[in-house]
Amino acid sequence: MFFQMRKVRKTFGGLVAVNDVDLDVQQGTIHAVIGPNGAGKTTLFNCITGLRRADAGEILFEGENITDLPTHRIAAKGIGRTFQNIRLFPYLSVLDNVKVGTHLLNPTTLWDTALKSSRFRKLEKEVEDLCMELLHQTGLSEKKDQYARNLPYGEQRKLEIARALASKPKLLLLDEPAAGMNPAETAELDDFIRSLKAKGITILLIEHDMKLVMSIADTISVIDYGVKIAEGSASEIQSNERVIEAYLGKRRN
Amino acid sequence: MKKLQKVAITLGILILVSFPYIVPNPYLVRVAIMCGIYMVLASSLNIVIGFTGMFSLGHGAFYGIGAYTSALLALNLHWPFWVTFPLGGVMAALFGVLIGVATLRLRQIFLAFTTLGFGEITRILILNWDSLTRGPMGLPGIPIPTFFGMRFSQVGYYYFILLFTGLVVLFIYRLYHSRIGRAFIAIREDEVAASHMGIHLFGYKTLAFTLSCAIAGLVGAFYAHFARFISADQFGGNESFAILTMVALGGTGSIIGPLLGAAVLIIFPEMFRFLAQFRMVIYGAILIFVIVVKPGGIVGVRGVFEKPVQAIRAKRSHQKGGH
Repeated sequence: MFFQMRKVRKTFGGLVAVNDVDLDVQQGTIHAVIGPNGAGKTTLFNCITGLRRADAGEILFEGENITDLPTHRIAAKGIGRTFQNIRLFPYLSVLDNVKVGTHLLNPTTLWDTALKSSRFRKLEKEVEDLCMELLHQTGLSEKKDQYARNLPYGEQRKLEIARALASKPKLLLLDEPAAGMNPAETAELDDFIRSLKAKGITILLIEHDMKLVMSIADTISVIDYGVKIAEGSASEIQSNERVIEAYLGKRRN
Repeated sequence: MKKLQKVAITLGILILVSFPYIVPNPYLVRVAIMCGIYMVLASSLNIVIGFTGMFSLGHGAFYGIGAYTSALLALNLHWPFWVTFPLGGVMAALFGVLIGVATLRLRQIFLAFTTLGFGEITRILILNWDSLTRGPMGLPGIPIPTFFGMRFSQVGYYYFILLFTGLVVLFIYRLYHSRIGRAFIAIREDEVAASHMGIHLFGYKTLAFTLSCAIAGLVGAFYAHFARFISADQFGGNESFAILTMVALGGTGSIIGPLLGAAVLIIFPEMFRFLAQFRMVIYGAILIFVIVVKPGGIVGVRGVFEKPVQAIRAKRSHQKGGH
């Protein structure tokens, strides 16, 4: 099993944000997590990356228990993410933001840095090339020298994805990547996420744009009040009674 | 542009190298040496404050630890300067690691208070450990370094600190444009995002703090052998605040900024000697002025001063909007 959550639980005081959720993500798929606002989706992501500690349950990645690892170690296992409320490094250039993303791939030491050794130059060159490639793919290469904070909203989202990809993650968590994007940009994003899947990156996606979700997700899990209420393909979810209930309310008889 | 820069840098180096011969005035050369010392101190503090975004108020203590280590080894064990100088840096770095491990999990104002406290503890310890440090009498007669059997002349000191300052600035420049420097800045910008990039926050904070302390300790060792007399009050809170003011005035987070701030705050007091007793008052006023009016300093990018100011402004405009 590639990625697995077993009975993961997270409470904030009396509120059960994530209630014994089981989640299996198959390698090489796009797996969407949907649910009404406040259902606990982002908390679920925060538990995966170690930003919040799960109170109970286990999270397994490639057979290894990562539940209690600190955030930077989880990142090192190959889990990258973007944030719902964009967390770029505002006063770093666009290019440098992506370069920070390569942190884990770059074995430069302090000694290399102080002496500007040939190894240092070689590694910096590799980093630069990889980051420029990612900026080309996301259409941001011309803005590489701007401060990240000066980018328009949609491009900040793209930059966050580019930064997450710079660490060459095996599993990429995208938290509402289409939020604030216009339909043309969302269509672009659709293609882009598919191209990531084609490269073998597994994607776990939180998204409210149902058109996007139904178009690209191989599996959809629905969460409501912290409980997983349904799971299946797009068509299965669309006809699921409990899902309709969660989104639209109970049918009146 | 690139070519112009190279010409300017070459010209600058030429002027600096020939300075003691253009201006063979011992007083001015001495001021230049003090400039060099404070440029190094401000640059090293900038690694912590400007790059990594941590508030340290005890930098003078690490400067003092370096000075006392080197002076005591030279006076008591008669070790040569070339051995005691690096050991001053090593000792300051050791204390840096210890203090770092103990305090760097604290945030912002709490870190500021603990480092301030450490600075005072160090000063008081030096002042009262009579058997080792001679307490308030200080350490006189610290030997002059020799270079191939020749004792340093004033020009010798000048070239030593010129070379050392150059190396420190070069190191910081390379650091800034490296994986490690980017990790520091990422921590300053957003700790949560940084940790998701695989950056070990605590490890890199400790590294930044230790590097900063090591450099301060090295230049402290140099200062001891240059001034030839050191005492506890030279490394107390006033010193820490002076260095902090240099960083703030010049500009946190930039490489040139602290050099500029140090130069200004060393040269101006020399020009306005009659204001000497108001020195710390003026430093305080500068610090407040910079924080309120221009938190980035003269050329700075952004540092610890901007965040709290922004937070207060945001809160205020929010309150105004709310009513």
